Amino acid sequence: MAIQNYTLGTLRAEIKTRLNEASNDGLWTTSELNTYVNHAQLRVVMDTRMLQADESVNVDINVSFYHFPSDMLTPLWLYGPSLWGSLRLFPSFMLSLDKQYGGMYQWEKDSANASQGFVPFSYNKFLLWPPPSAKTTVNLHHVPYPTSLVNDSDVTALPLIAQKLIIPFGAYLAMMKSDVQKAAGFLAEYKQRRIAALELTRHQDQSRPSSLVPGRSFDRSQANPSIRAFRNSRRYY
Amino acid sequence: MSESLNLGAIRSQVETFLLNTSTDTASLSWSVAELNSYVNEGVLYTQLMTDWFEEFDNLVCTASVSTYTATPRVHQYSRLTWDANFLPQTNEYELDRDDPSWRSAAPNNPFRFYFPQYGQQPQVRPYPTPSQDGLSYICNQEVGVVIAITQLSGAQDNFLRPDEIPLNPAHWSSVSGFGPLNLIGNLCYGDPVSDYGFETWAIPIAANQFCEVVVAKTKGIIDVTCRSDNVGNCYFVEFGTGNPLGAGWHLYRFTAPITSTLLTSGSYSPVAGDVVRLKCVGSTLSVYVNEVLQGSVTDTNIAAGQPALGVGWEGKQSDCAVSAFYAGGITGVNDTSITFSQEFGVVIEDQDPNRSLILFQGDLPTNPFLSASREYGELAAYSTDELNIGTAYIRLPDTLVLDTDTPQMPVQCHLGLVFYALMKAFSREGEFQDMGLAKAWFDAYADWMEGVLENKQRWFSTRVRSMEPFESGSLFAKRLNAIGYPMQTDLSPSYS
Repeated sequence: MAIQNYTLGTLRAEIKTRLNEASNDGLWTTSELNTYVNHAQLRVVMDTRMLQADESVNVDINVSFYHFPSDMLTPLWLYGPSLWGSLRLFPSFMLSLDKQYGGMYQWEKDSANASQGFVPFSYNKFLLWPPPSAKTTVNLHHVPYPTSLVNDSDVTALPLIAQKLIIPFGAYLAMMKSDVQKAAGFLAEYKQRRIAALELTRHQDQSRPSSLVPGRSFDRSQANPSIRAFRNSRRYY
Repeated sequence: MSESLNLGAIRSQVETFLLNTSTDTASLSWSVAELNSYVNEGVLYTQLMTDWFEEFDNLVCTASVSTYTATPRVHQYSRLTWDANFLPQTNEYELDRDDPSWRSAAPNNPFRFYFPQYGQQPQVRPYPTPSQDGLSYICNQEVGVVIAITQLSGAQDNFLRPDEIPLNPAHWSSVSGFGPLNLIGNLCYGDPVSDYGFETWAIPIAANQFCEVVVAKTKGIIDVTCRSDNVGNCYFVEFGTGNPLGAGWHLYRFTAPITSTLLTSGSYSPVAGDVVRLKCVGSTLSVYVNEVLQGSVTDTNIAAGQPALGVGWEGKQSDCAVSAFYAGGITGVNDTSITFSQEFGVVIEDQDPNRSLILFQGDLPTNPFLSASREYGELAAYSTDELNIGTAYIRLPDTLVLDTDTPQMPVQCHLGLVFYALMKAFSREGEFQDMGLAKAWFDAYADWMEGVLENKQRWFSTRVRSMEPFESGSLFAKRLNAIGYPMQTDLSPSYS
């Protein structure tokens, strides 16, 4: 006995069954359904953020403006190289850096050092602050785009519980061509079934604090420019 | 990542859902231009919904100039600096309130800015007006470096072949009254019988020509000859120990039947390994040794002919020889003039340790979608934000024109554009108008964008976005409220 894993071919076959077009191409062509399967796979990864990977970004001395890897769907965190103690870099934004020390801090004129924070910019770039003082790499932990399924034997990296989600969402996209009400049913099924996959990711909630908490034993909050700006700014209230 | 869709792919998917497979331009369906316009509208509103596409720019300041016009790419500014210092925003009302005489303030370092108007190209006024020019740089032009130039119509005989007596008649012509040249052991010698050999190059060469030899042995005479007509007329430069005038080189005109006239001489005596060239361009005759001009003279007596070579020995045949022969036509009346267009500097690296943000991005060409052909660091001018206004702004996306143009937003947004265009297609007045379907496709767009925005909320999950507790709910609806609902379908909640 083995655990079932879907291929592109078997995913498409299940969708065709739902569309009541199991054997031959009729309203939907094979390539069209393959497209929907891949769109559905992207949606599942986007909603569940199940696939995660680390990727290094080369940084250079005095250069603070970088591109994210092109396969990045959702960036989660950055951490520095061992040269900088492998510490996490804190996300911030430019106005927060401006607010440091009551708005008196000229952070853009900082000299190079081990970077402490970064500012996401646009959808594919980020700034390091302070600019790196060494030619090294920083590491991005992120959710990558899923690899597209091309051949019928191709399999996805998602676990079975998430593979199952591809079928109702793919059927939803396909059925939008024929009957929007039936399609809405498939979408509703997708959203209900999605809970099971999200259950698997609950352990990652601790990376997403919903409020600031007082510092405890492993508090590095003062290294976070946003928090520092907030605390500094209170002096002027 | 096949989920990255360009304009052609988006429209193709839209047409699949529309079942619009007719290529008949007269059919009552949706034209390519119409669908493209819907996709572009979707790109604009999706960008406004996500605020995802941002860019930096500099506005170069000029002393005592108050108003600066920004690029039309700006949708909304998010941060302005002057000389890398944050500039808070103000407006005329606040300035009037705080300092009634602000309009007559002397130029100084700006510490505020305001927008006097917000048209197609927003205007920015720093306050006070800058008192000094901002830094910008231009690169000095340089001219091309020549690696090599190949002249066409040249000829050569490097004598690298087995012994040949006389020389190959396909390339060389013997001349009546002179013995043949002898090729022995890859060197060209004179005639063993009469001691002097002379032959002309048989392949036609233009009247403006050069003849060049590589000297091997000089005990005798070597005649580097131009414009020989094989009946006794030619120019030649002669050198070697056998010349009756002694050391150095001597340029002669030779005319039939046997009259040689010395035109000019030089003191340098070529030795083995030297390259000696006679060049005839118009009436100018020039002698070069190892590319260095030795002397020049004007003579109009002989207008055309062929390059030729003469070698004569003094003691024995092996005393005097050349190891290579070159000849060729020279285009133009004078030397060919080659001009290299100037180019701008290629920047390898630029360092400014006192500024953190220095990086050359790809060009922003007229067509921003040609990312593959962008060049980095080759530029005519650039500016930093030093003494200038640095800006960060949310971008207006460029209009998609070619089917290969890809929307300037993350890949996960692209499918939403298909849904948006379908909503627009079904809501348009006409035979195929179906407001029920339009609403269904807008719902599909809303659902997809909700997923996109949910995901965006989780970008950098440790990021502090605000000091308030995280608020759950419909992100899409909130953003939609900010930019407005589509006009043709009343999909908004009831206001009653």
